[in-house]
Amino acid sequence: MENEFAPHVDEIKRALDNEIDGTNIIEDLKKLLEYRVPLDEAKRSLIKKYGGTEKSIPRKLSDIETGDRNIEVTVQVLELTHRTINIKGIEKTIFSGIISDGTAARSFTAWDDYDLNAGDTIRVTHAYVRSWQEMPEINFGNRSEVIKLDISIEIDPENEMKKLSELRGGEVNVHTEFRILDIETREINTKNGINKILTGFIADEVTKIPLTSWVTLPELVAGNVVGVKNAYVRSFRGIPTLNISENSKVKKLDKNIVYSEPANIPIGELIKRDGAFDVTIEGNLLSIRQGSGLVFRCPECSRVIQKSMCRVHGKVEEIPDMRIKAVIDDGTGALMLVIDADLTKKVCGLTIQEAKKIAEASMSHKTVEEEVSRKMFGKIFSARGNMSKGDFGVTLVAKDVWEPPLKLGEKASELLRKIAG
Amino acid sequence: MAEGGYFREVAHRVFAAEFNESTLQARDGEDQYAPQYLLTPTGAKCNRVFVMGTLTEKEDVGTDAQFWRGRIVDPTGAFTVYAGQYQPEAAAVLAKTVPPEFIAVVGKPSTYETKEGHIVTSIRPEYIQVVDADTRDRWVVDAAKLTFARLDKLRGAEPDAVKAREFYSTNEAQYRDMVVQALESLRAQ
Repeated sequence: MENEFAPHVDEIKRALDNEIDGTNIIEDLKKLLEYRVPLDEAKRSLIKKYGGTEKSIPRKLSDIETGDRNIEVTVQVLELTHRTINIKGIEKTIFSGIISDGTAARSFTAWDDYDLNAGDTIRVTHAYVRSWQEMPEINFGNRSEVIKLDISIEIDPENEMKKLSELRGGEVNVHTEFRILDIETREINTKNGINKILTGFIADEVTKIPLTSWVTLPELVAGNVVGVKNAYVRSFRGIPTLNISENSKVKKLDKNIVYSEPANIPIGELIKRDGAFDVTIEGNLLSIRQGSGLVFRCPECSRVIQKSMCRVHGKVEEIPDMRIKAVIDDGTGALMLVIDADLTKKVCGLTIQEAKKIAEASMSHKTVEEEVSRKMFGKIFSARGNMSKGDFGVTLVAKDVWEPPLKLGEKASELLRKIAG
Repeated sequence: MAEGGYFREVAHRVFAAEFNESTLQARDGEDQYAPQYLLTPTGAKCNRVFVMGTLTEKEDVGTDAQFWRGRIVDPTGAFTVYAGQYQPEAAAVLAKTVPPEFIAVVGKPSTYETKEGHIVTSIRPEYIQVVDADTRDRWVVDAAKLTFARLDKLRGAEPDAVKAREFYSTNEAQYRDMVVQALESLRAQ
């Protein structure tokens, strides 16, 4: 019996720097176990009882999982922002950003000021991991110690080249090649004043994704084919964005990369992905959802409101808008298609003014919804846009919607040939 | 995030001839709220179907409240739809539509066993609407394409295909002919 406990007692003693008598610990541990306390919990509570702190367990960022606690990481701070929050009436500044240890990049939140700067290499103990936007996020809490190190994180230079389609959120030290389709300068506010960054879209032969560069470089111009080493990837709503930082190496390449616009993706395949950027689908509209047609929005927050009352901003001057939320289904799968006012006008021939007239004539907004349904239900539409997933299912917000050309005879003949084999 | 979350059940495109020969109802799991499916002879596992055709007959078969039965004809046969007080929108459309008219239906498959032991299939519509001839023709091509895709996979190892094959001993040639017949009907116009 005593032997059985020995390793656990040793562990507890180590955690307490051997300052305590082993027999006491054995007694306490036995007692807790008699009271059906699980072993790990018992060890934790004893360490706490004797005033010790558990030793943090060193972890690689690629291994961390939501729910991990008391871990130690050695990382470099890639990005840092701060914001002021209000906890129970007390203003507090918290820091967040991205850290990397060469195995992965993760977002983090520091709940105290540890005098961090972007580029610092730090060792953090007693950190814990919580889920933020479905990804594990490291938290530095009040038990955490942050030690600045005088080393730089080694990043393996021999990482292989990746295709854009292979990129996943959280990856670091990414090497890839692409053509810049579109890029623009944006100004953002940071701790050190206004910074210029570049945002745009890049593509290789088959995949198109967004780009953010935290440094302005002469190579990053629309039309250029460039190779990038040591970039990293962040994911937003399942869509990966390539990030270029000051640690990345960018080189203009003398080769040609041509992006070919993708063909329609079967919806059944699309909804298996976490998210998708700029994809095209084709299917029948099988249900026009409630809240389609004429809606009214709050001028402050754009929420859809009823009777000029916003639940945040109170009585407001409502702004009329039009949108369609419809189920699009191609026989392989189904998702929710969202169409804005301009596109509603394009496919439905209805302007906001006309919609208002219809609603006023019948004294009901529902009439517009019925009108939309009458015009759109059952028809085949093509739609192009970004797909994302949420608690209420899969959504594609349309950048464009159109009725694909008919080509009935052609399609029928082609199928008949195929069947004839 | 790829797992879990909500996914809307896909609407299968099936021709009337195949739909009416479907007799195998199944549930995913034992739970009383588990979705119910009708497995067709080519292996479409239907919790929802999307069909189009010509409304040729309609009749109010209700005793107290209105209960509409409609017959919707496609190139291979006829679907029966029933809409009563729990499908008010669909019932209203059936009530006011004068046959013949092209019509599109999204709905749930349902089956009924007669005293003689025959299984009769019908559709309980979620939504019905009058459509134009082009839209209906397009559906025929789509249904043909998707039915042929299922036939193609019928000899494969996918669970729905295996189940359909074992239960119906599906005569592939018969359904291939059905698809051809549907497509030929478009070219004849």
